[in-house]
Amino acid sequence: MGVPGDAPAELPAGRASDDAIWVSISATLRNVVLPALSDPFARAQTIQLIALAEHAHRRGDDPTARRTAELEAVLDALQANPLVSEHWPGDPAAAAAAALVAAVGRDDDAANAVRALIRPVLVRHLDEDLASTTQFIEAFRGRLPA
Amino acid sequence: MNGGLAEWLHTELGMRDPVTIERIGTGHSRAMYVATAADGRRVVVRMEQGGVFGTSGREESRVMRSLHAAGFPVAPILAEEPSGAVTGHPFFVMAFIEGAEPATDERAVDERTAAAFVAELHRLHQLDGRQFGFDLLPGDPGEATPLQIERWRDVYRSASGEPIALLEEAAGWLLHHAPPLAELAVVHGDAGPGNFVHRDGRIVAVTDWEFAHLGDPAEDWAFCLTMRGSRTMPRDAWLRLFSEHAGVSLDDQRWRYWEAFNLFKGACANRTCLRLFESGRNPAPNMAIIGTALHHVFLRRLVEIVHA
Repeated sequence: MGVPGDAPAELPAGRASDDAIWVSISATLRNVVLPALSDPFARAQTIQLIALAEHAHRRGDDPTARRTAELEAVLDALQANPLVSEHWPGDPAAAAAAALVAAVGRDDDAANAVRALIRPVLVRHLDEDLASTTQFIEAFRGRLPA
Repeated sequence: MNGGLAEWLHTELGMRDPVTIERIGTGHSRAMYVATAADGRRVVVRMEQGGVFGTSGREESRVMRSLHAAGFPVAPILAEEPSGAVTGHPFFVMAFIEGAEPATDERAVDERTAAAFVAELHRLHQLDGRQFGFDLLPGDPGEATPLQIERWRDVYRSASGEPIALLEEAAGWLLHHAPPLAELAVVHGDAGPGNFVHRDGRIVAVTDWEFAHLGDPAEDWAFCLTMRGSRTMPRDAWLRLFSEHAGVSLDDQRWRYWEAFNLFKGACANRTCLRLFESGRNPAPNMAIIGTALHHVFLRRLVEIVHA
């Protein structure tokens, strides 16, 4: 039990914060639950759950809106491209997919422009996802996230 | 779950009470249990997990029965419960096959065993599987690879809220570059170390048939080389075994194509896990990890090949 004087600079407003709850879940799983488990399946699932809890705590804002805006900007820039204009304006993910598929097997200016402008944006988004879930891979292999 | 399953095994298979049930392995698409009766009789229960990877246990057991009838080493199917009424998930039961003492790493096998596996996989590819009960039957061999690409694209689309443009592009690339196929083969679809039982250098059972289909054997060789077998032994050692025991020799372009195909298949299948996790139908943490991180890893490598 805490005592007056132990309180942090910013006092909690009557309920535990999400941050504190995630820290508690992670610490308890690591220090109490996992050491008590011997069953390999239960251990594997617990290690993965630790990675999930720590990811949820650290992952930050949902990037979907920013990514959609970036893709929309690229599609706007390609508006005159015949591989894009058929599908855009519309759903940006569907339009990007349709344009890339239409460019497969073609080596003309329209296809090259689609690949040159759309691919880098999508690959950057994929690389962001990869970076944010790296610790999942370690957990999947049975190793506790650092 | 265990009580209902034990009772069902007692009723259906005459297993003597008390039946104890123990989960084995940490597989993802199917939960595997060993059930042991009071007299020591053992069976293996293979249970679906809510539709992970978009594969069907009914097709799997049907194909296994056909393979067994054809003399291929698979565990005999003893019983099936396809409704999900007993445990909440469909399952089938097969004979327990005694293997070598498992190594710490299930994918670590010696060269003699690896060679035996290559020969057995080659034998699988020679079987006529058109009557084996596969859900997808290509009209002619040339349709087989496009049919599989469309199958896996449909699997990911059914699991994803919006198109994944890089995956759609990869499907287009795979369709455009699909190599010709002269003859249909039974393809395991997840071939390599970890998916067979061995003893004294012999393959006593090939396991995990959920991805089996009719198609191009190169898919299996590439899967073993670049995925399941990649940490078992060096690439050159596998290529030598493929050549010596199966007469397989593909050029670099063909290896790359089939590596891309398998990455595509994996990226699509993995996406089903995120859907199951989000819906609550399978809230296990591995579902979130496979559906995100593993999906990303597969897609990233696939993009490297397609964009090269």
